[in-house]
Amino acid sequence: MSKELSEIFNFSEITDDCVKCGKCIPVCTIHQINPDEVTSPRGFIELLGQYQNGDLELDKNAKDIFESCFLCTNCVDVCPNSLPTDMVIEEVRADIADKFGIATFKRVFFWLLRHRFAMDMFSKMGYVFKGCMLKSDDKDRGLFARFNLPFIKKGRLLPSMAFTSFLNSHKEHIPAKDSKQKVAIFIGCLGNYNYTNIGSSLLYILEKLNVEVFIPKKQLCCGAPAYFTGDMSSVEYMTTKNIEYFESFMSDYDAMIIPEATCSSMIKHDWERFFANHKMPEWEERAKKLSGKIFMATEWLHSQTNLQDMLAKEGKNIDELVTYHDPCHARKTQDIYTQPRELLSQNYNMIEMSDPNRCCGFGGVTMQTEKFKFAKLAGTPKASMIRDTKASIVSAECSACRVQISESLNDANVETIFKNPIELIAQALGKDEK
Amino acid sequence: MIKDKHINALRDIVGEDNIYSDKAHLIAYSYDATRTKYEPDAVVFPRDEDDISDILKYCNRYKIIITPRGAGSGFTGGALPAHGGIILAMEKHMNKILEIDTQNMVAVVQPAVINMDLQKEAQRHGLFYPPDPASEEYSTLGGNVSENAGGMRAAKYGITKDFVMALRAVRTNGDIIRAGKKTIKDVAGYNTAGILIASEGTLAIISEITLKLIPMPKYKKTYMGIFSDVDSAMNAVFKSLSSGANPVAMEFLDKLVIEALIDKLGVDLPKDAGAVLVGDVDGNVSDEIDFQLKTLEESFKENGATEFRVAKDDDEAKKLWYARKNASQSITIYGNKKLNEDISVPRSMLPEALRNIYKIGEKYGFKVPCFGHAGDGNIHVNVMIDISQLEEGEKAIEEIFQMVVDIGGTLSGEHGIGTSKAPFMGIAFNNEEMNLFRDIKRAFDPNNILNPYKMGL
Ligand SMILES: Cc1cc2nc3c(=O)[nH]c(=O)nc-3n(C[C@H](O)[C@H](O)[C@H](O)COP(=O)(O)OP(=O)(O)OC[C@H]3O[C@@H](n4cnc5c(N)ncnc54)[C@H](O)[C@@H]3O)c2cc1C
Ligand code: SF4
Ligand code: SF4
Repeated sequence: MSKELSEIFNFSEITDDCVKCGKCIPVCTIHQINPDEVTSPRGFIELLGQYQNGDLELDKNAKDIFESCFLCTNCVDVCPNSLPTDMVIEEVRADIADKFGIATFKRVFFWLLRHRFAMDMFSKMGYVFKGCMLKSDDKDRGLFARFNLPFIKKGRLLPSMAFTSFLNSHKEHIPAKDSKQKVAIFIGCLGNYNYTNIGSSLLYILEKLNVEVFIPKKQLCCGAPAYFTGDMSSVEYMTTKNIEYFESFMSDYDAMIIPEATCSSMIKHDWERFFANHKMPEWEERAKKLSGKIFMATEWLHSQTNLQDMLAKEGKNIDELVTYHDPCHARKTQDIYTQPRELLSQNYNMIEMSDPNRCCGFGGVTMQTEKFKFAKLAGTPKASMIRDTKASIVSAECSACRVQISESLNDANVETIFKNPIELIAQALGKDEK
Repeated sequence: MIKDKHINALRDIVGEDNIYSDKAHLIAYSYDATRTKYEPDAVVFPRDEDDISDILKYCNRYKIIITPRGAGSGFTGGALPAHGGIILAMEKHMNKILEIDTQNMVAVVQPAVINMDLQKEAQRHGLFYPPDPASEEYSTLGGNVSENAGGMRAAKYGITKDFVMALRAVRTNGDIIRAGKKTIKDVAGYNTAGILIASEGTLAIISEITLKLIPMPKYKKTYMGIFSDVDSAMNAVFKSLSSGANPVAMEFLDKLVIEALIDKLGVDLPKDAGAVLVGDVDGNVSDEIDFQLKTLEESFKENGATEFRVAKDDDEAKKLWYARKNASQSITIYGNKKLNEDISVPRSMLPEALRNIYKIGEKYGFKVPCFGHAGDGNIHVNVMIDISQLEEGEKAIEEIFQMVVDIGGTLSGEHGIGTSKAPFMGIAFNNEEMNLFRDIKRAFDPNNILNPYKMGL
């Protein structure tokens, strides 16, 4: 099904604002690995304008081109007009999804993300059956594919699934003695199913800080994976369901804290943008109201609690060298990069890699499956700059970065392991490593 | 349209993945920073010099037009395929730094290396590549050489041509030529490299560039002088240069720009300021920096500077530079369309040029904020118009060009001629001179396939 021209998102408005200076090109993640103007921000923007004019057909070739963007927002960061290339790419992916459909395995995946219970069951089965398809990595970084799965080649390192998800492992309300602060936690899908130590570490820290916690059990995926893939009906479902649910309790809480850059950026910024683009002003207003209380975990802990002092008292108590990678959705879209560094440097020796701000190359579901060769290429420079630091741990407050960086490190035979800063902070405060 | 058979033949040269004629590629290679668009018939990505040679030979035989392209950041349409044919895009493969030779202090690069990547690599070796066009972070060295790009550091260090030691280039008949040497002195033969510099891809394809590097100066400081009018600022420029100051950059902002910076961006400058000079001084001993700053301060104050600021640290330096770096963005308050030209006049004529420019602006009723490189007489003239006044605006530009040439200046200090300024070549050069250009063009490219009709040729 093709859209009538009049139904297409108004791309030309942005195309007209592009002065074609080319400043965005050298920083572009896809252009770095495929130096061709068609896969560059300036190229995407022009192609989208021509698509809207009817001069460029949304054919298989165009689909491939628009699916190659990593949505890293490097381009937005340097553009003199701050043109939102990532947003227009997300929009055209909706048209691609309408026209070409969404691959079955992704449809199943998004359906599971919509339906928490089914995903819980699936993940349990995944935990039980994973041995058939996947083998554990001896360094506990995840699982290797034993043979080729649909879109996943043999030998890839994948995050392992926990037997019980984070949301199903803890009580909904965790009171604290005479606490003054109350927060809700949004955990994110990877944190919920795969890297459950992040959530338990966050709880450990909040307990030390005497903060009352609410774990909203009915939270759904933030919608980012579907948004990046153009499955707009899933996005609409997850955002509106989540907003209705959040509104039912957020007036009682100071903040909703999220130990995940992508989820937090999605909820804080992209929800509003999504509703604006899809002419849903009432929802836009509701998303906007919520966004004031959305924080990345390190951001909130850094500015609203005395965690830093508490950590300082422990001194440099852990003899590990840590290097921090800036997730695109933390530094570029939310300007968060000093907070995790300041917190970690209380207890760990820190070293900067040569370009911490360079995208890891995760790129989303499509990039990790059908377009994995690009993700692999984009990951190589990150692995080598991490190797050069000789750090034993690389940290980033983002589990998508974790999937990609762990894989890239494994490919490059680098021993460095990945931890979320929340896990490292909890460890410095005495939590067992596991 | 070129025939399928040609596309197939070119595909045989570069391979399946390096030639495209799908609509998306034609669109993506149709523009540069002028924002004008012409679609090519195909886009070809040469893998190396031999590919270039084979492509040129083939195209020469069948008279297929070729437009070389670096980053497409040009301001005058040099990389636009205005007459169809193929785009020879260097960005994909020809983008490697081949050598940093620390003994001879030269760098050898392929043409699509980004200017800033070379600056960074040189710095890693304690060396310095000074040419810094404002597009340094994205324009290519091949493009820089082909446009003879310059930047703010030109006042002290010169422009691209001052750093080109040697070139390798491919002629339309496929011959690969070497022009220049790694040596400092070289008097044998014609200065072919000199002819290729600024030739805007009309003579040959540059396939390798050898550039001079210098030692990285140890110290750098940023200064700013504030004046009540342009004349006193320019007198301060003359005076300080003749007193031995040798600033890396000496940039000026005129009154309209200052007002726009205050209004639009809240920049910390006095409201009644008529001109600002800002720049850096550098050197290897701190005494030298002190001497430079003292000379500047004295010359500035002698000529009526109301204030002289020196940045204490990097942060303050950034603040002082902020005004100049955002000049172009701030002046949009004067009109929704900007016709910008980068004329160049002998330094001594700068005040007169500005007076004449304002007069022409007044005559047409346009605001014409100006800023640029006081150190070298290169002025960015911005005729601010409403989009509906394009024709009038262009008349004003033509008058400005005529005036500039009359007082001994030239059409472009940095951006080149390409398609945008081609109609004005007749103002700057007489028939005899244009004929010489055409003869040179014919000697290199008898079939007129390399970027034809650009530069008014
Ligand atoms: C915001 C902005 C600021 C700018 N500031 C400055 C400035 O301060 N100073 C300045 O001088 N310029 C400036 N420019 C203009 C532009 O960046 C320069 O002209 C630059 O040198 C062009 O390089 P490019 O790689 O983009 O070349 P392109 O635009 O791709 O090409 C420029 C010309 O070079 C030819 N060419 C490219 N590669 C080759 C090759 N290998 N062999 C033969 N011919 C070749 C092309 O055919 C074309 O004629 C600016 C541009 C922008 C957008
Ligand atoms: S979001 Fe990243 S990959 Fe996509 S165009 Fe921008 S810089 Fe390139
Ligand atoms: S930096 Fe912005 S204005 Fe410049 S080419 Fe890229 S998108 Fe266009």
